[in-house]
Amino acid sequence: MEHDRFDPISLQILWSRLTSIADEMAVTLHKTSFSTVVGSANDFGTELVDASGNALVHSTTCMPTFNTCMARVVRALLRTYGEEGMHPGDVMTTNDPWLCAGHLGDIAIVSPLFYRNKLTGFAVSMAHTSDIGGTLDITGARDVYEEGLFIPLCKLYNRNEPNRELLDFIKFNVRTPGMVLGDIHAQIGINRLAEDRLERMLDEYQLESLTPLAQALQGRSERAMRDVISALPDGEYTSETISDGLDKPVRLQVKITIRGDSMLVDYTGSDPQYQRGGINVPFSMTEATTYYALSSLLIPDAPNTAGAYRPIEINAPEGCILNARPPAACMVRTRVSSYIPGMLYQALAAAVPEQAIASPGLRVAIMANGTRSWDGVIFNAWMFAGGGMGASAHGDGAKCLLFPTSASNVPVEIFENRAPIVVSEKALIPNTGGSGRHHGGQSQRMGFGLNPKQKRVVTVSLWGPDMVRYPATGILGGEAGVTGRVIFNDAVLERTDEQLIRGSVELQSGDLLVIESPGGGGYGSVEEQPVAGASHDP
Amino acid sequence: MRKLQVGVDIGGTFTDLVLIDPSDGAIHIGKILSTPDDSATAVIDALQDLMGRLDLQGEDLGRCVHATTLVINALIERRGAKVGMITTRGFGDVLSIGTEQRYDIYDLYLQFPDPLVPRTHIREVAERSLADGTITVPLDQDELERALNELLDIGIESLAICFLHAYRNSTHELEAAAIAERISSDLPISVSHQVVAEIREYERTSTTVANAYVRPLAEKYLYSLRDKLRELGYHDSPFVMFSSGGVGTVETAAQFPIRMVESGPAAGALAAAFHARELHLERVLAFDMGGTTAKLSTIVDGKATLATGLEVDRVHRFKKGSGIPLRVPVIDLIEIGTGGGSIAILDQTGLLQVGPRSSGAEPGPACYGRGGTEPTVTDANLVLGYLDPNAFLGGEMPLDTAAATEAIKCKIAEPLQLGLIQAAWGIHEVANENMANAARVHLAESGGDPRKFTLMAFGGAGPAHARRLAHKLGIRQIVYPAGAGVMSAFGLLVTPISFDFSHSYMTRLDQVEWPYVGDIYSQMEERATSILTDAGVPLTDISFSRTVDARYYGQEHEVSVPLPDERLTEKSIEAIVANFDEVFTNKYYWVNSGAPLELVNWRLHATAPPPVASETVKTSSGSTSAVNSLMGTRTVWYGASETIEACPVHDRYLLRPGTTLLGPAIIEERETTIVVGTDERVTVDSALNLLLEVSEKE
Repeated sequence: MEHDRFDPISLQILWSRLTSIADEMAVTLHKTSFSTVVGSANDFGTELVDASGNALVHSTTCMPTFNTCMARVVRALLRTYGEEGMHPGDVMTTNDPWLCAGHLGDIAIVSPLFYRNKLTGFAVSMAHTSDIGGTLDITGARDVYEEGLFIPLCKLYNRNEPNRELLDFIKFNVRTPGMVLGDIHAQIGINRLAEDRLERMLDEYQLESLTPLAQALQGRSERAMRDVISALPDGEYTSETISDGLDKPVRLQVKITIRGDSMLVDYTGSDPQYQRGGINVPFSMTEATTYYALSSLLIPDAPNTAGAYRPIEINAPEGCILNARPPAACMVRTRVSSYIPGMLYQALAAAVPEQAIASPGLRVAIMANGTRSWDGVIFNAWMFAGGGMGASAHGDGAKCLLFPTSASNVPVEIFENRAPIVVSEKALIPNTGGSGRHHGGQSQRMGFGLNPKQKRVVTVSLWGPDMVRYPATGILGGEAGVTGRVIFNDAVLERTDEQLIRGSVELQSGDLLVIESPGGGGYGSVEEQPVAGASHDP
Repeated sequence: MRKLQVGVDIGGTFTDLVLIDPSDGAIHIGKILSTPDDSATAVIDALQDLMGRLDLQGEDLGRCVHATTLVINALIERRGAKVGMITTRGFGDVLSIGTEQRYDIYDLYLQFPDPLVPRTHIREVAERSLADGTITVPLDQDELERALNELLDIGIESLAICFLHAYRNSTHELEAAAIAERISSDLPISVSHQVVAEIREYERTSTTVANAYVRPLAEKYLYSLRDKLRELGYHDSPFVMFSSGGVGTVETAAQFPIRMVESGPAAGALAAAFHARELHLERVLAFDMGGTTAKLSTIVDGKATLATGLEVDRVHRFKKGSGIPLRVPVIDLIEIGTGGGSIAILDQTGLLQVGPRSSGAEPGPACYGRGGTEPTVTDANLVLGYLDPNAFLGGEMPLDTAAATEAIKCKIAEPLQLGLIQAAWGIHEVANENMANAARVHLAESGGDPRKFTLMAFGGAGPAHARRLAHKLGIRQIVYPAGAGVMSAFGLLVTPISFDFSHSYMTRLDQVEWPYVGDIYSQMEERATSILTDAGVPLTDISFSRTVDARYYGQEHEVSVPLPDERLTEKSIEAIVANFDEVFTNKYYWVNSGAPLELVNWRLHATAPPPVASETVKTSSGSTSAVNSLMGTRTVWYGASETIEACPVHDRYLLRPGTTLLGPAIIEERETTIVVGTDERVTVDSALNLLLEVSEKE
């Protein structure tokens, strides 16, 4: 096959082959991982990146914000090592929040891929690690140093030789080294698999390298995005949103300017960063979330490569909360960044009324840590709980979804096996979606108490809920969803209460911690309902 | 006295019947249209017809095994019973909440299927067990009685009982079932730890409810079939094929009908396994491509690979996560939305997509001439010369080449500025690539290298696509088995009666309470023995094999590890570790030697000996003298610009054992067409299977 003439049919065939490689990586990582957060909750992504560091293809269940971040890590590696500094058998890693997905919790594992002795691309995976050391008070950190181990860009394997010191360094800085290193080894395994599969593909299609194919595919996605943007009316679209923040709310603001076939997304006017509290968003995460929100809205069916993002410029002034400078604490940056999709959809509702969707109720995650009293085992277990999805022209919002992620919840039976905790309920809360022509999705309530055999305290880190102060907003006349809540021993905690400020609860015998996720926003006014007074929760 | 073995496969369109005479290995085949309103009718009609032709009486029939789409159709068409459900306080929304995962990350408007039991028919009661089986809240019997009476007042026809951690401690489920039985003795009750004693409440509940949902329907059908066979003078009880490839009694099937959900495809995979054994093929990829989908399964060492679950009724038909999960042992097959009827379109970026949307039976592909205007895979195959417009389905259905050409030109060729053949070849190739990619990911899940497999192609469209699929996967050999038109019915006859059990007991290997494991296996063996002896299997013929789902401590997913064939004690640990290391390395190419292991589900497979010794089955029949199989020639395309103008066309039914054909060639049979590449060679073996060596050339 000639490089300069990929016809649409060959391109489709090769695109689908590349997707299958990324999917094969994902399936294998899922099956071989060691933690609830990867193996049950699916909090990871896999991707192939071209030799220049542009995103090419990610797995179909990839954590949506990870794909652009993985490419960003590769570009940093190219700057640091240069092509000449990379060799077959090298494996690089980092969890630098300003390169990765905005916090220390996501570890990237990168392998340069060589074909006929030339660098042809990169296999990358990024997975949420079960633990990275640091404080369990998830919003209590004063800066990134308190949030755990920072792994700078470095080689984990040098020409197939493991970097023992680095592995030990990690091992002695995390609470659950078996899980953390087990997942890292599983990540290395899938990069090897990708190398083999890519080589076979290039052989079969007699391609000298991945580069021309990558350029052709990226060109296609770019054209798809430009075509869609061109069809939107030129102009400025603005929106703002208020997120809970910590002791005080955080205001976000966006102005989207559409001119011809390109778009500028400008977050100027958003609040400045907080040094402390973990809710700061490094720009890598702002960018990734923005791209993801826009491609879901505008080109959901097109191949999602770096090309799709070329027509979109993103600006967030340095030092604002959406472009936080180091060493700002950023562990739970999704408490701010997850507001981005809803805010963009509000802004663009006028431009794409048929696709408009109300704000989603944001998810909650909790992480239980401690020592089991009866056998002394140190445990770490995660539980995710989705909020109600926003309603749209297409219908009511779905109940309890983990938007904007590709994660899944953890079965209660698995969680109770992993942690000495008893879940008292996992139930939908009626009437929590915002009313409208279409109602927002319902949210849920979960209760947590100690297993009666557990005598020691268990620390429950709270990754949310957000929208405790300010609900998920409705759209085009739809009402807001119901806010989330945290209830500790029958007392509703305020955002300014100590536990929510630091982001953790110490669970002792007899305590009951109840968490309610927020409901989704409604779409259109209630008066527009086809059947007046249609049941809220069918 | 000869006793003929009977296999019946009730499909969506046809009911297939196969009789084998064990005395001479002769095979007799019947095929009639299915009768969806009462599927037993078609079975009886087909059987009566064949018995008439062969002059047989009811007592001449031996073992009768059957497969049916009854269960899967009832789930998809939502024709099941009004189900009530009892569950643990606080967990009545388990089915509505599901996994909370978005099965398509770019679809903002995702929808999910409605649960099979509406929330208004679910009652929570006070009771609780913990992960280690400790009971912390006793079952509130009064509350349970009130709840049951409410559900009976609503008019429920079937009951599901699903308590948290019941896989670990079944006391409360058994208590609740006894109370329900006392209140309403004729209400069918499905209890979660009996349907599937496995951890993960959403999957276990979903499976138990699905079982309850199809149970009244399945009971009625199974007993009606048994009675009608009696009227024919057949006095034994028929057997049923389960999704796992096991065969069980009508009574077991009536109690656990959800285990029949994929019985037809399972039977097809077992037929492929039979052929694999006969041909001494170590690894086979069975490829069944029909009108709307293609199904792929793997056969390793003569056995179909098993999976622990599947998903049905997907809102997005082929998107994992958009359906109802069922945790039942099942032949591991993947279904891809690529079949003869799959429609080709251009997407948002101008790329060619094939499927999953299908033209169905109505209007069907453009070439069916029933008003279809969208180009399909069958239209492309016709234009490329793989199908004879006048010989489709034995000539019963003439194909309209002009309509196929028009559809491909308007919808694909002209917008892409391509020639007709380029576009048709593109459709054919995109379909092949879709299937190859699905096969690769599927094999990755089970850790297999496609290049080590032989492809076995059947189904209406499979043989026409097999060689390109093989090429893409790096597969060197293809088998086109004889009797491919009735593969599933044939599979029913070559399968022993068997049953699978499992029990969750999650523990580290160094902390196993071995006497408890002993109890688990004694109970499972006792149940298995009673089921198999009830089915007429002599006690001495029953054999057991035991496996455990194991993983590194902390991992979330398991591999299936054989357990040593001895009384299990701490002395077994070493053997279990060795077996684990072997299985894990084979799958994932690495091991973490010395890391602690964790065991999750303990499994038992109980089986009787195979029913028909394989050497008695002779698929060959008729004369072996040389006959000219050549029917004529036509133009066939082997690539966008590679054509053979006078490609020879052969009649498969006239090919004799020992024949060798050199490509290029087309081999036609009633339901399908085999394409032989230009420098490929096909040989006919003694059982009339065709074996093709794939050319390395593109």
